[in-house]
Amino acid sequence: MTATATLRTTTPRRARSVRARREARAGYAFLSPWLLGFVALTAGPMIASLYLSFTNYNLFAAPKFTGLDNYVRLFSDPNFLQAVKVTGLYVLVGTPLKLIAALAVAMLLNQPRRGQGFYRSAFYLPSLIGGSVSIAIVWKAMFIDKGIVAQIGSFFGGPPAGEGGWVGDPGRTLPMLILLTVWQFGAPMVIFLAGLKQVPAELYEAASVDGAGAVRRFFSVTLPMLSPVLFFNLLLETIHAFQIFNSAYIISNGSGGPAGSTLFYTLYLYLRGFRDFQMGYASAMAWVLVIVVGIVTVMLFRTSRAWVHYAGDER
Amino acid sequence: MSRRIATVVAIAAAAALALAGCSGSGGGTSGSGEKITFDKDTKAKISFSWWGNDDRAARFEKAIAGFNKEYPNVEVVRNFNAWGDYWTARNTEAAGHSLPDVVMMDAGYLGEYSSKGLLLDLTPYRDNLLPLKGVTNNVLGSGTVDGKLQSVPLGTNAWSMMYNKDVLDKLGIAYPTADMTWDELDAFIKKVDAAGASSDPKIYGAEDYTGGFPNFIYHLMQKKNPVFTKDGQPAFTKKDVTSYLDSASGLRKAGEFYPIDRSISLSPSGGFLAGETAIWFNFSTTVLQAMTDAGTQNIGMVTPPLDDGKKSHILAPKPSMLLSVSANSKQPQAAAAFVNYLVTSPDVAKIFGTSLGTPATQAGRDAVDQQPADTVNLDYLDSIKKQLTASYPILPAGYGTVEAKWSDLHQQLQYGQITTKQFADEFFSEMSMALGS
Repeated sequence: MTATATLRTTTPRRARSVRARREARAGYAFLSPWLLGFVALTAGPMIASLYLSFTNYNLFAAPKFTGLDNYVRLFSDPNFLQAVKVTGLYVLVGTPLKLIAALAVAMLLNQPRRGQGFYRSAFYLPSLIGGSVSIAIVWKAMFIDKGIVAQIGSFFGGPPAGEGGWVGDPGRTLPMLILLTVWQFGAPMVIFLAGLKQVPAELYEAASVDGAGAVRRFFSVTLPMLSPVLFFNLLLETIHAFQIFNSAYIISNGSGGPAGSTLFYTLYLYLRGFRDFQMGYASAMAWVLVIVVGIVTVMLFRTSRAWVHYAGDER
Repeated sequence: MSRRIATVVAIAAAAALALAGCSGSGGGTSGSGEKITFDKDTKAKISFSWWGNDDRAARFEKAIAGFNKEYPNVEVVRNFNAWGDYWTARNTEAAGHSLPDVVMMDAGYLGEYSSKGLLLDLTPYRDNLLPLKGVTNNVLGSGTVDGKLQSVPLGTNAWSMMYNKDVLDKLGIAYPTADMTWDELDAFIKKVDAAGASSDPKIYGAEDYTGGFPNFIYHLMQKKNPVFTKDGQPAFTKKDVTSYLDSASGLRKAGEFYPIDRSISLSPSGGFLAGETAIWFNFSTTVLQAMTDAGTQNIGMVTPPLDDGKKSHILAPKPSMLLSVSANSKQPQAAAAFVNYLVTSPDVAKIFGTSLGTPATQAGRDAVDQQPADTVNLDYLDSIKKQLTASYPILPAGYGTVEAKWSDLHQQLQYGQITTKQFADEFFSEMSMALGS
């Protein structure tokens, strides 16, 4: 009896460990296309660019090691400071606005109403095509002088758009691009919507019984219950915002103009690398961006402990 | 198989020439005696990129059809961009050593590309595939860098001042003349502004004429000042820049120039191409673009204004466009044959008129079936023959960056964000970096 029992228990264990090893091997085999891609197309170039950021490299001649020169030069480069300013403003203003818009629309679309499926698709649509070149071109056409925005503005007695419209006014190109990103609220909106569906209805019922109004219910029930989703969206959209390129490139004809008002960080990096052949300098810029985005992400995670509530938490 | 043999022969010939050193610089005779050959019915595929609009693309279509009559089995893969996008696309390709076989080249980029070894030295091909019959040596000189033929000019042009006759007729203002001074031009601009204020859209005299770097080159040339030194450094001072920019500050501050806001929103065209300014400074071949975009053939051309007290202009023929074969080309023979055809065939000159520059050969110039734009350009170049006394400055590697920086700073100047002194300071710090290495 005992002998058979031990036999029974050991055989499966050995078999399991063999199977586990085989499965692990299969797992890596299935992973290998991605791993190869990651090493060859992401990790390798990143390490190369880290090295290049300490060199003077014009793409054609061998890189010349110059130590920290590129990094030092960054901080005396007026264009770099301009790019930091423009991108910072875009992230700080654009991201919260986009999230507010996404949440507002998600709340509207969360109400039971006939044809809600249609509305959801309709509101999601802009973000499907939003990053594309064509939308940026349409956006530009809307905001030049005599474009539709100027016409609507003056119809409602707003100030005349002036010659050149928003596109020609360095003070209004950034707002124009922020509006474009706010309008592309679809992706966070869908995530908010999924989050809203998870909020238990009985919490709202209980709050109503206690006499809480709609505003109170929003701040005391919806927001805390939604905070993990909000955090996820905030993180993703912040990182995205740092990388804005397409719309600025198209609206300014690739120049970051007028007068540097749309010289976003990645656009300037691209111009330095591929217009001016200063790959070392561009690599240094890329690494500064990586570090800044890293710091911002860590900071967001730190603060999240104070305001993100997970179900089952003590707070 | 035959293609492989041809390649081997080509490499051998090139090596022989390289070993022979500079002895072959006199022209047709090289020591080796081996010619680089390419049979007319060899099968090959070459790529060709140029900048320009749809009109130019349609003309290249015809020109390539003509080439295919001579070389029926050479397929030319075509690609074109607008000027701005063209260089970003080429620079990206250059980084990956995947430039098209034949690249349309600009004088402003030739120094850059050739210093980086991106272009093929065409000298060994002169014997057979690229005889360039009828192209004079001084024209070829503008495509020669350090003794190597890196690029072949398709044609030349010169700096000019264009005016829209329709606009001036409508406002009842007399056309500008070739002997105007800058003060007279300023008065002219104010006159147009006053007369055009009530039109919708408003008509202006001109965009700020200190806006582009070629304007500044013209300005320095009048003073017989060099623009760049032999080793590619600026030969002008900050003071030159500020005093040049200040010369237009009266009009700039009074809002007499075409508004920058509007000009930005129209870019990449601009006030003149939209038919909203009376005059425009540009190289003479751009008159075709002006006629197409402004939608009128009534465009006149005279020399830009004179400095005070001067009687004649100092102008230089500038290679308007050049053709280069990329160093990474796998079909250099076919590419060289194609370049030779485009530069010397009178049929091509007939197709393009002067829209690529005045054809480089006399046969080509004679073949031009003069359209209104060709007549304007050719007459202008004829009229300035005696004033073409300078040679266009060799533009150093990094020139593209410098030119872009000038435009960018000039926008800030027009928006009133910086002073001319700040302009000069920032411009020089950019130049020290861009032209440094």
